[in-house]
Amino acid sequence: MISQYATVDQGIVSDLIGIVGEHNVTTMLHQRAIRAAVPCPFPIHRWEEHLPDVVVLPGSTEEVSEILKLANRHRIPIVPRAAGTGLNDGAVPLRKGILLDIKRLDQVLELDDANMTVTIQTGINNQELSRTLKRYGFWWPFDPASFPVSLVGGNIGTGAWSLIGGVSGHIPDLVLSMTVVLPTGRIIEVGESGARKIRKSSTGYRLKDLFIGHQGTLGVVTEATLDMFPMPEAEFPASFGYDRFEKAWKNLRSMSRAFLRTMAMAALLDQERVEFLRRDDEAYIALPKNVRSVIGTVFYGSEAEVTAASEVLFKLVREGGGLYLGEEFSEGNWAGRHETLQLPLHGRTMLGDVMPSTWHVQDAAVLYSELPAVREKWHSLVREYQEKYAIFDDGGIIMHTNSPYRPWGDYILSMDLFIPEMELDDAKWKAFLELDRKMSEVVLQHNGSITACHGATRPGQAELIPIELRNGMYDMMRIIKRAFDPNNIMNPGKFGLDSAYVEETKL
Amino acid sequence: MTEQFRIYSKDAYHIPLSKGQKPPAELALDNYLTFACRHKFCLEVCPVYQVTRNEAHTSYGFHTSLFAIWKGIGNIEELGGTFTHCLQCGACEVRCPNTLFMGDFYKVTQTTIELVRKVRSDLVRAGVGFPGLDEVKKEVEFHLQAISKRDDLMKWTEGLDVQVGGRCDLVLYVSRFTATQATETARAAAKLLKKAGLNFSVIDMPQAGIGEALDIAREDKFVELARKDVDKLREMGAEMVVVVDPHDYFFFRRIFTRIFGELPFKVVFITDVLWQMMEEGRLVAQNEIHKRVIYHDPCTLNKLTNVWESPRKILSKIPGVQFTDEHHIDQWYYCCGNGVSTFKKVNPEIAFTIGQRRIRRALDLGGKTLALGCPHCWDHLTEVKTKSKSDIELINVIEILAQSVGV
Repeated sequence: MISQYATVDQGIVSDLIGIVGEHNVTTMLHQRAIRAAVPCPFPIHRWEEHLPDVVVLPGSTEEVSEILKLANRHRIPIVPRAAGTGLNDGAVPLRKGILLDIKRLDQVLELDDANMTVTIQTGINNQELSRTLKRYGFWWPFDPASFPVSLVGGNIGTGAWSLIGGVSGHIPDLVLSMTVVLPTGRIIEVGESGARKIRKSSTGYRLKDLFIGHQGTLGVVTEATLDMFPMPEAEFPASFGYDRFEKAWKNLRSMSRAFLRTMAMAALLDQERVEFLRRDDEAYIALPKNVRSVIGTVFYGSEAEVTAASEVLFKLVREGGGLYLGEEFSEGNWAGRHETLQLPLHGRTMLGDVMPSTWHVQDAAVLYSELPAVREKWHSLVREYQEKYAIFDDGGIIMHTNSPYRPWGDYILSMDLFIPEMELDDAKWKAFLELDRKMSEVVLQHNGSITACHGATRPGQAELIPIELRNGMYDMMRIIKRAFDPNNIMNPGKFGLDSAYVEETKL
Repeated sequence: MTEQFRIYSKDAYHIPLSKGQKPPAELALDNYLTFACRHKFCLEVCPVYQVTRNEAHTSYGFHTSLFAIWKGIGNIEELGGTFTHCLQCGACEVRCPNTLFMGDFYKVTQTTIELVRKVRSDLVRAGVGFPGLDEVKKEVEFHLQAISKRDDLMKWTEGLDVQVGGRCDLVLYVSRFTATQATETARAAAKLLKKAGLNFSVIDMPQAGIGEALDIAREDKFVELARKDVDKLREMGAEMVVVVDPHDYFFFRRIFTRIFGELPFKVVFITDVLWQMMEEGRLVAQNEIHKRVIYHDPCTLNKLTNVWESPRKILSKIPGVQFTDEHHIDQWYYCCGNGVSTFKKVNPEIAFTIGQRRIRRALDLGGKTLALGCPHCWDHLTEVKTKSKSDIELINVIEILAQSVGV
């Protein structure tokens, strides 16, 4: 049966204060309100429903454990929150309860230069970690779009993706082991093996992956041992223009087959994306008119390897009909990768007027062969909803390499949709969820995955999880969820996992 | 009574918040643009957030709190403890994508500092107040008394043989804080201008320089004092005013101009003038100064008025100085901890921690001397240094230059 949750009363608040101290607990409305939302469309007309009852900022694994014990004992929902920069609503509370904010867990615990690992608390920011490692001559080779602000713990929670994953992998590849507080309060360690710094092992089940991308539904990750890299000698971004999307798409295949191991990323921008950027981005405004699609690439490695790879790349682009867009464009485009594009005044109505908006990023994982078909269907769906509701704006599509350590295989098909939250009501919110679901259905029809890195936590996507994970996988999720979290306190309602408690799932 | 003065750059900020009433829709739109952006670059760049790790203490937190109230969630009565957690250093403004990419065109430049001042003052007007308000009021009263005491205020000029108060097209502006708390900096500035052969006059009995008034609904007093100084400078025939305190420079450049329109004189910061004198050969740094120096960018220069080159150029030209530069954009993340107005008085412990971290960063780079451009940084870091028993040397760039020039 579905859990009946206890109310957070003054007694619970007092107990929390006893665990973390008065300064680290708040019930003030505005403090709760700011932690209800994340940077994806948020139903501000229903803000109140997502308010947590209390916010708590623990300072140690032990404090997290005591908080979870308390919550489990009283059956109070717990929603972990890192920077709150996720592009799906994994950190948005659905059942109120305790908002557990991990930001005070922000220390580097150990840097092992001999074995090239770093152990951190998960509330540390990626840029800050990067700065620290740089001082010792090492590289934190994880580069999500949210690099300047996201926290490693949040990246672990969502199973995050890195722009340069083609050369250095993504979060699942870079985390070697973790300290996890289970919903019962028990503190465990999981890793590639039982040893914290080993990168490959065959001892036992591979349990580490359970806690990557779990969206806070299985526990709280408080510490992690991470892989770190030597500082690369060379960084080389290069962008190319094409007069047709299809030409760029074919050229992407040639690039993939060249087996360039220093190629960290290739990103294909379709015609709608280029047109969108031409509205506001000076670099794109200046592009030749016949450039309707762009491929951006970046290489990391030794000088010799990168130089050799760039020669192969330029030859392939020439043969594929691409145009080098120059050093200034390429370097500027790469340097601004964390900064640009998604801004609240870039959305437009169909009449071209500015529409203060947030953005939704649909982030499906799609096979190379299916990219053109899914792309066309997505644009067509958005046009349909634009015409019907006049509130969506199509920011175009980027297709990023998605496979770890190799620039081929599947791609993140990433579409930006601009949505004016201030105009949202139930009907428009429902329309958004419906559009989201239909786009995800297209992906499943083409043997893709609903989400590559943001997490399928929102209604619309979440209802399709049992379809994507059919043939036993979703049943396993339900069994695991109920076994780990018998009282359904951890981020309840996400992934549709309330169903695990309706009746016992059997394999 | 902010509507009497153009204190804020956005009209909506002039409408006071009141208990039990929704903020105006124009303000909600301004708040929404930060809520909806949600790049949240304003988090990690904020020196306060770096210590408290509380996202309420950031531009995102301030704007979203008000936006939530507009949506009927929350009330202004509980905002005081949150809105006091801002140094007004400007880091979130310069780092904000709204400023960087849309500011000029759409007129949506991030104005967190003004928002914080507005809310603090509105809370005072609404009878709600905020923690530490009494301390801030005392500081304002102290200033109002101090600016009438000639013996204290102008004592720093004794023995310098400089003209005080007479007509001159070049005026050296030294306000109360520097004149009384960082006398050596003021004296070094005057000596260097003299050495360069410049004919200048020192402003007599300056009145302004109390930003705290803007935080406690005393905009009228702030404007009154500012007007006195602007009028006095006009009467002196000033064509160029050289400012020694970066806080004053910020007030002149960003606030006085908004209140009074274009000023009848040019305002320049002291190190810009001194560097020009060095370039023209009118000041020669000749004495070797053997120091391992790190330069600390004052927020009011680096983040708020875009002055960061001249102090570095000066330090680079002083013989004997081993200068290790920390990039000025990296220093967007830094502050001494004092803040531009009320922060330290309300949050002394956080101010201390921020200061400790700043000194630690300098030591980590091998610095033995932290060169400063601001008397408030010097004052606060001196306190931090003493409490934390650090042996780092703290000295204003102007004073290092004076030693090298030999004045």
